[in-house]
Amino acid sequence: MAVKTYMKPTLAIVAREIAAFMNERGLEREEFSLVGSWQERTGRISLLLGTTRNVDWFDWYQNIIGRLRSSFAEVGTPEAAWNIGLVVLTRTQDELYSSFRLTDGEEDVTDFLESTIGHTWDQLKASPTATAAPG
Amino acid sequence: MSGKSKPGPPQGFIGTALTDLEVAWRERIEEAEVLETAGFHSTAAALRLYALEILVKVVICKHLGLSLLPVVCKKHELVNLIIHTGLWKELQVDPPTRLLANWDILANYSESRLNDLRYEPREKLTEADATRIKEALHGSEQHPDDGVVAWLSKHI
Repeated sequence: MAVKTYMKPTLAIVAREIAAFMNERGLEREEFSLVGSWQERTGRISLLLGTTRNVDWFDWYQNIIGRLRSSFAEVGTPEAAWNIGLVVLTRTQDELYSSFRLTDGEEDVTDFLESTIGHTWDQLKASPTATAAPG
Repeated sequence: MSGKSKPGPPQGFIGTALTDLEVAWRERIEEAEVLETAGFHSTAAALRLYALEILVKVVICKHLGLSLLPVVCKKHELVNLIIHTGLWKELQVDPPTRLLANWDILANYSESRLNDLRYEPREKLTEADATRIKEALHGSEQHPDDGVVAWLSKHI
């Protein structure tokens, strides 16, 4: 099922912010994966972020949710920022994908998120101003 | 034959009493501990998630001053139920807290895995997942005060 068009701006912000965060933390692209679902009835976006690095999951959670809240406030949709669930897991992409489940009424938005991360990643790597702090 | 049947719950309510729920959520936690000790981590995790849902419903009843469950509690989605507790905004402080992170973990497992756990072999839920659920519910060794049960228990 294709992602609903009106959800694309919101999901694009999510993907771009996560890509930027990963870049800042100095990760390689193959060191993280994101899967996500969206429930139209509740408006809830549920994200599972898997990484092969051993990280402080709460530090990542706090920073990413903080970034998302700031980003959404800027585009005038603060309500979206309060309805995103994020879980950070130590998982390979295969492990993350195989443990991902959808419930009734949920839409799988993983392809859109991953492709947007891919585009953003390429732009960040091509940009001379891209930063990469130690993770 | 008397011809009289037992009256059902009043309109807008389910016939589940708050007094039963108050016992049930604690019992599910106790049962989870026993199963975990016996090596059944998956069912222990499921019982912990059931306990959480029951506890949230207890908080809803207390918040609304009800002795029976309202029909809104027929649903199982924690992200919706929490709104009826009156505590949703308390979770959403800046910067995001470890309590909110724990809530997200539990909401995710409850919605995406709980139903399947009934039908899957126990190894489909890793022990790391089960530990994550337990720590989100009860707090970790390093952060014992950030568990969701401790937070909700302040409101019952």
